[in-house]
Amino acid sequence: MPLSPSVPSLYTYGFITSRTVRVLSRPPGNGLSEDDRKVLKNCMELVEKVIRGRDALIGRNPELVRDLRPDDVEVFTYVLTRDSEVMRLASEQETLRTYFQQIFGTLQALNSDPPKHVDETSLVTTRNFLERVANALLETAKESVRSTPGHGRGSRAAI
Amino acid sequence: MDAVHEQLSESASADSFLKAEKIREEGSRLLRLTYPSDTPPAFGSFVCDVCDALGRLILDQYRAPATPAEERELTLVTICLVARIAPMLGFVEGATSDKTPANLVLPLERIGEAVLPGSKFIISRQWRYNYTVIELRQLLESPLRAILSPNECDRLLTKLSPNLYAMSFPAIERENVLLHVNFAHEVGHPLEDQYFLPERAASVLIELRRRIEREMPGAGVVRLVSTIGRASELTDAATRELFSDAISASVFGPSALFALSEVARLSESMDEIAEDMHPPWRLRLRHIVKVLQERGFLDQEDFTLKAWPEATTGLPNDVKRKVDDWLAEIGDITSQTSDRQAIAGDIAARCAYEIVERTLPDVREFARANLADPYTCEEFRDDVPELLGRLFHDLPPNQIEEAHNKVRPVKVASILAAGWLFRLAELLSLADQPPRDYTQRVGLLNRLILKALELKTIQDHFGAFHGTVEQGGD
Repeated sequence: MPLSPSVPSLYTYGFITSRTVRVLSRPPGNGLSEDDRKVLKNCMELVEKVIRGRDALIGRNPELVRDLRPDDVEVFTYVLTRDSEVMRLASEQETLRTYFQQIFGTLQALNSDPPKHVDETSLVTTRNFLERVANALLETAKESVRSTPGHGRGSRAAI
Repeated sequence: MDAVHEQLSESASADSFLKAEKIREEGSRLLRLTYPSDTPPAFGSFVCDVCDALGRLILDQYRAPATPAEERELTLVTICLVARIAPMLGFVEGATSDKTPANLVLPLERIGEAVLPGSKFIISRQWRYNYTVIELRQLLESPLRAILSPNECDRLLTKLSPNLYAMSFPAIERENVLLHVNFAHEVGHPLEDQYFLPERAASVLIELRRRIEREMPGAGVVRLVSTIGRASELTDAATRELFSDAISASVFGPSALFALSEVARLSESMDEIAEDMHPPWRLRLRHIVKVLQERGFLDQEDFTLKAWPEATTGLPNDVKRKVDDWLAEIGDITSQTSDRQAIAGDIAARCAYEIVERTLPDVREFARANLADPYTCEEFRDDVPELLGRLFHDLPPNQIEEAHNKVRPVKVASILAAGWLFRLAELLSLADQPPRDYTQRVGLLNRLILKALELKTIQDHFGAFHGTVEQGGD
């Protein structure tokens, strides 16, 4: 279930991940603007989607996943199939969940008021993950240039 | 940043700005053309405004991107311009009066508005051989919200209709007006989301996962996830198509079956799932027949036309027999179940279609219950034979004459149904005659139907004022 080039969220997620990388790349101690906090909040929601998608598709109790949306499954599948690190971790179910939880926790700590301390390893892990997703989305966007617009799931229907 | 990198970044920015300018210029040119409806030029004007806003953003924020993240975002803006914004002009360009069946545009817009209250439509041609629908607001709002500031985005979107759809038809069929019944299928697509609530989709996904895990014990995570994903897409795509087929049959009655079967004739296979995940044609035709049987148009046992009066005047005796013969052929196709055998070896497809077939009665009922003004078998029985009689006299089938100087308007569905019956009963038998004769007769039929639609539009606007026409029809 690829995240189609024409799925409307392609640009949304592309900008969220790219802008979050920008925020995480700044030297520490500069403080967060209101826009930065909004970017981090949007990114936390994106990671939550990934976690829900993982729980529904390979978690132990999919029936217990709350507020599951089709988009969650699409986003998780996209990350799983586009990111070799995620694919490697997926062989051990709980390791992958811990990985995503660590990323979510890092974003949450940075966005708390006042920001909580985040160790360098967690920061780098989070930034690298988001950088890979952002680059993958950019590649998907580039593929869309060569395809007819609106052929993605949910964007165009035909007979 | 070194000098070369700086220069390249500025050049990328200037190039992106230039693209925005070119799209805006082309949009401005299209605004000077003639359209049968106000919606396409209004949308073209919106596209021009978007290009202005993106051009300003490029100059303000990305004139000289300094980091890889900024460069990535500038590339995304450029891709949005060329891959998302520029193709929108295709819908405007294809909607001019000389490229559409102009007489049909307003009636189709009205049917669309009846099915989807508060919606606007752009009826546009495309060179791809298919009918398609695309929701323009959804397609544009998401990237614009990601790229532009909230205030700028809100300012732009106030100019865009909240529910705006581009419905495209195959360009070479512009004059084949009866085939445009397929628009009703496209109008049905936006209604799907009322059926496919997230909770329903989630429960289908969990069921698919359980089934596929049982079928593929020991499969690796990626293979399992890919199979579940494909099964989910197949379930979704099939149910959505079949939902829209049910809407089409509810809006146009038997014409939906006639029009869809004409497209199906050109398909490679009646039994295979299409590359774009559309369900097998045999299943779709079987499903539409079922809708028509449940709605009283067709006989439950022998597929014959049930919504037909005991006696008709002014029609050749064998009209109904010829239509029934044609329906019997469809009955032969839909009675076979080779489509089910074709997917038996494919785990994802088999699991998906077990769920699809199980939910079909629910889909049909939902479509029936949620359509404001469905076409009834009584309307068909009361109107179509007389309209058909007009066609046999080369008269446009736009109205029923009830008394001297007193006429009753009819639905667009009845006009098109009369056209289809005429084609099946009268023109198919001419197919073995010289092509020129057949072409002339088909051309005349198309012109009569278009004239009827034009007259109906005029009657709808001015009938009450004139006082001799009852209000009604659509």
